[in-house]
Amino acid sequence: MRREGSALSGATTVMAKELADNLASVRMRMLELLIFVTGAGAVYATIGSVKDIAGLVGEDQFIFLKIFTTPRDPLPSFVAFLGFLIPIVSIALGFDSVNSEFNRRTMSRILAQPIYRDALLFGKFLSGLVTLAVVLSALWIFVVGLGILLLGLPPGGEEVKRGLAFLVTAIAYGAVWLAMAMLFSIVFRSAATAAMASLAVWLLFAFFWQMLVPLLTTLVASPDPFDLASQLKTISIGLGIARLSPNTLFGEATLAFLNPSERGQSLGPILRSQMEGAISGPLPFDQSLILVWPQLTGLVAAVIVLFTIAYIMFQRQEVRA
Amino acid sequence: MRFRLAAFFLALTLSPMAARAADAPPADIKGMWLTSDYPALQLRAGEESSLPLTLYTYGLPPQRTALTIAEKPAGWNAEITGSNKQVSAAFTDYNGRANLNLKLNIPADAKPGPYKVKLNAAGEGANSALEIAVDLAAPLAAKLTAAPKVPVLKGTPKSSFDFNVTVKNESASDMLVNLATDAPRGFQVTFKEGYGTQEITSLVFKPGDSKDISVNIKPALSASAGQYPINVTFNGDKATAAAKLTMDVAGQPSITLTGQGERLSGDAYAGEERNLQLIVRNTGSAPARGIEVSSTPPTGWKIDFQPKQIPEINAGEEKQVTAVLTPNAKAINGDYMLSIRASGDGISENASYRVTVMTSTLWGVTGILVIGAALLVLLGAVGRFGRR
Repeated sequence: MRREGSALSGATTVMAKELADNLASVRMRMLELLIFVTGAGAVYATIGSVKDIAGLVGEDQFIFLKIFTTPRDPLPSFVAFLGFLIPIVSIALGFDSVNSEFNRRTMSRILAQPIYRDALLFGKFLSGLVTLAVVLSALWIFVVGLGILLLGLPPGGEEVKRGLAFLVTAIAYGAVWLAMAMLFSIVFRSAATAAMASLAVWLLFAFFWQMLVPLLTTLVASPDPFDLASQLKTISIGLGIARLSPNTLFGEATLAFLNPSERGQSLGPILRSQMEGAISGPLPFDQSLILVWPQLTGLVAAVIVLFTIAYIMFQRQEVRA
Repeated sequence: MRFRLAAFFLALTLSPMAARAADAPPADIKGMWLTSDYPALQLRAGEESSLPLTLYTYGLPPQRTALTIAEKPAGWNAEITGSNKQVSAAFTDYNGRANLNLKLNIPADAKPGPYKVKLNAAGEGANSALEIAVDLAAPLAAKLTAAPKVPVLKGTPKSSFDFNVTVKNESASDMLVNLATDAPRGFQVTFKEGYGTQEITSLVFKPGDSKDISVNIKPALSASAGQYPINVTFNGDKATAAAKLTMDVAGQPSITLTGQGERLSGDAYAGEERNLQLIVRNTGSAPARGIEVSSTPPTGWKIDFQPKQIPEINAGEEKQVTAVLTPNAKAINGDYMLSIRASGDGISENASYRVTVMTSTLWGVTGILVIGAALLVLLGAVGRFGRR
């Protein structure tokens, strides 16, 4: 039977209900605590070393961005922490969003309401996304506030722009994992299986992908050691494979946003002739944005593609009372 | 033979005695004389002079001789000295002599005319009197002269002009001399004494003193070509002297290379042509000719100048040059340094131009298209699978 009216009518209602559930849940409290404690710890430890750096280097134009990126032994940097924690939060938000409705036998009851099935999925996904955005924005504001308090200087306009771009990137990165967790919650009827599958993918990309990339590259291409062109081709194939991982995309995008002097030299092979006459200096924000625009669009496109797959699978599922 | 040898030895031993005998007074002169080399002379009022005197006592036993000034004009100061001390008696040996001096200090207001100074020497049984006739002349007028060694020097606005002026005090008294010039504004003048290193503004000249003063003048950098007469005046307390110096400043071109609004930075898109406006300005004082603008860009970059050559830029004028720049199509984003050079005959100027290479936002559209395609797939899925 064809649907009448918009696929999104009722989505806002579902979203509001789900959001209320999400934000009030004990699971959310625990995740918030985890992310805030680790974030604050990383930033607090970092600011000490940022102060040292500021004293040594003198006037750094982007000292505020260093809060995000400077690691201090034994703690990794704030950005590295987020790279680990955002997938966990997203997976926690999404792994049982659909299958729990089946397990509690509430799905047919919800769908008995005047709500389309599409609207249910859209609503669930959007509520997860909004929750994620709220948590990350709060954390971002918390860190910036902590930075102002401990460094004693406000961020400049360029730094705010770059910081916000980083926040958007982090939300998009979280959305990828959220869409994937929801996909698994649709595929697997058991919440535990969905969680395990999501965590397995996360483990693959977070830890094993770096090891797998050279292996996969040699399977695809065999570089001639005396031919520069074939070596360059191999490197770009390797980069292409590495960029299948959302972690790589997130890492590269944050690198460009939080390190203004990044001009692409860490993002791919660059010939010496391309750099001839170059002098070090920060890039303007829009140029940094253009530099990692493919990474950003890749993240957003991945979200849409994963959601589309989840949508198709959900629509094809049978719902029984 | 023996005899001759003996005579030779005798002559040898006698010869110093013979020499002494030649110095000794003739045997037939006996007595005491107080003499002066110049018993009649001309002196000037206000001057201090010293006359050498000699006291001879020939054929007299060693004795003490009292010396007195018997007569001198009123107001004059006279004293007899020996070995730089004032003396009133001298002791002479047999056939001896004593060297003495008469110091005369004539007041400046003494009237010109003939004067007499009488001296007496009184020994034991012998006397001598000396009369010195002084013809007093009018005191010299205070006079200062200044003579430049080379009065005209030639140079560029950047060179320093070193004049040497010999200044002489031709008066009878000390003089404090102040140094001054009427150099044009912006010209730096320093005075030094001879080969000294200290800068001076005034000098003390003793009577008859002559000193070399070096006058160093640095013209203003903006001084236009031409001749600059400069009067250096030496103002003494009684007299003034002036030296006329001439600086012949030849013009010199000097160029600067900047961008529009003195900005030496601009941006360009990788692989796309971009016009940068440059300004070549002649800040010198002579026209600059045959200025060629060039640059050695990084590999893969192209830079072309329009016009390549500027035939002439007059002093104080500027010309625009358009640099047509094409960065390497593969250049990465960010800042690059371009060295641009303008050189003409004998002059050259370098400027570092900072080019920010940007990527065109056109590529961003591709990303949006990717997202749009993904959304289209989603919409298609919604249309295909959407159901109640």
